[in-house]
Amino acid sequence: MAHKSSRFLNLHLCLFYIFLYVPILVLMVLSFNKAGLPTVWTGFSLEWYSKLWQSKEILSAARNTLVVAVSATVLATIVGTLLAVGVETRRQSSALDAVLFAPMIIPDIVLAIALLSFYSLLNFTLGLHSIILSHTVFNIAFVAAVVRTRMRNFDHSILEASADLGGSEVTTFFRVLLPAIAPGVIAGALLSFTLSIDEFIIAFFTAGPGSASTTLPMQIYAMIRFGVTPEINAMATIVMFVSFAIVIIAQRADKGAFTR
Amino acid sequence: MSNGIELHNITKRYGSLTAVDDVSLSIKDNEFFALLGPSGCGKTTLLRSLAGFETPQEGRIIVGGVDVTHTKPSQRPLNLMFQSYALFPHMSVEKNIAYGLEMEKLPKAEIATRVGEVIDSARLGDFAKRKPDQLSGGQRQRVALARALVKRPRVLLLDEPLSALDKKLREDMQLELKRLQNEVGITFLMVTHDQEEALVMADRIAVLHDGKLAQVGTPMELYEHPKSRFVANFIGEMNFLSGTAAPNGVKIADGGLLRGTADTAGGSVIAVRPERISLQTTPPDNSQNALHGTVFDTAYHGSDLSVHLKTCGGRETVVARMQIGQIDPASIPKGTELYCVWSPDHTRILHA
Repeated sequence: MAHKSSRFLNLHLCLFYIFLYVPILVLMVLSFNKAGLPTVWTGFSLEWYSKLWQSKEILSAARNTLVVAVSATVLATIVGTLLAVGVETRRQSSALDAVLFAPMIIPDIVLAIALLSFYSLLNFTLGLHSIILSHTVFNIAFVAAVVRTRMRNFDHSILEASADLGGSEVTTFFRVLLPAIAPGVIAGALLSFTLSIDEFIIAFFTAGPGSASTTLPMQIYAMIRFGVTPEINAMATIVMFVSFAIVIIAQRADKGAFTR
Repeated sequence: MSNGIELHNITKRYGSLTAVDDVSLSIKDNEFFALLGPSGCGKTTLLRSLAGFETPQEGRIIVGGVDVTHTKPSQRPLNLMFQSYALFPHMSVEKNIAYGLEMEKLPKAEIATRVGEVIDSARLGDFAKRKPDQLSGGQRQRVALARALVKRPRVLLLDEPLSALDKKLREDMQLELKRLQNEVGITFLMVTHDQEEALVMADRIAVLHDGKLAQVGTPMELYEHPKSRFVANFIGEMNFLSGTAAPNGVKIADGGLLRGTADTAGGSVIAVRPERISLQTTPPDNSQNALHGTVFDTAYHGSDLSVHLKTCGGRETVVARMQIGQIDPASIPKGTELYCVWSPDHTRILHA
């Protein structure tokens, strides 16, 4: 009986993975297709990857994306970590929790429109910096959430121990608290980086005019309007591998802390 | 410079709850002092106020002659050994111990020497490079102790220091801590809910009840001369017999007059320790207290035997504790009728 049901479950699992990954696999395979056809395999080639390197627009978009992702990650990690520490060491409040989690739940489109209206209300010039700011806003919530989980898993009396042994608050933060939650901070930063690198809606709404603030997802969107080319497949493959690698590193970082 | 502690009228409230209620205590130089009480009695709040993690609304705290009531925890001349040990998980044993000295900005060479000394005396030499999670419970406890003592505080505060250890190790550590306190010659202030631990280790004990000081004294004073029913009940085992107050004693219904010594006049409860009661088949002379009873249960503890008797027409239960050498458990089956006999000198008269 148990055997039968486990066989059924295995089948279910297989179908699930096929449904999820076959389209991605097809995309990856076609990115190495010699001819620019989406359906016929004509031979292996790295031509599309080399074309990516030659396209000024794509390279500039990639650079913009990295600038946005790195800056937003740095800002969100600092603010998000401090936020998590503050919330976890002060009195608990469920209302505050709800407000903190909101940016994770609010639909991106709503957040995008809200930020855009807010910027225009302030007469804020749009550009790369406004995307950075917008990404920082939603990344803070994710970083804070990851760091808070970490904060709950360590003995808070080590902070008092540090004070008892003569450590000031600043010393305690850098020498005791930060090392203790570092895996959470790293995981939060990596998560925020991956979210930022392929974020489209908010970037699209809060970007300035022209290609100076076009990010990679926006560039792909612009290109895709003329049909899916192997170039896009190649780019998507690269983006996917980068995100995948970062997620794995993030998981390693967070797990390491528990087993150490 | 003295290592004593003085607490003057300490009161700490959390909203409408008074955790510590007007407690004054004077702890002598180099004394091993225990704050004893059930959970929620305020002992931990008192300890945390001393360490500086809580600020009492009223009262003053004086350590070594200096008022530290409003001094930051990091500036107080005392160190706390946490119940959870609170070792820094990312630092080795060595680094954990050195941390407090680095905060004092001592020269590197001096830090190294002092850490080395403490590691040797705590027998942690083989583990100096290990992280806390690679140590056993007993070793972690020694690191926590070493980390506090390396600062050479005037007073060491210990929050339930032995509660995380298993029974055998706990008994060894009780004596070890006492020996250590003698050696370093500073004041130890321990918080515990374990009355046996307090009796074994402390020079003096303060019993706390609902935030108030119930009684302060040496272990023997508390055990032999408890001043209230709470203290008598909390420390050790005690038989209580209620009746009406009479001169030099208490009149018990169906049991006659039981005499005793009283610090509080007019008490109506007789208290006697199980080990002070002897059992005999014939009634004693008039100089002794006696109750006639029927054995209804016995409990074998290895070294001794608890005999439970119904007395006073079945209304009261008395427990007598006999050494195994003095009595053969087989000789007192259920239903045996015996006299419980004890001296008025070992009888306390307390208020209900």
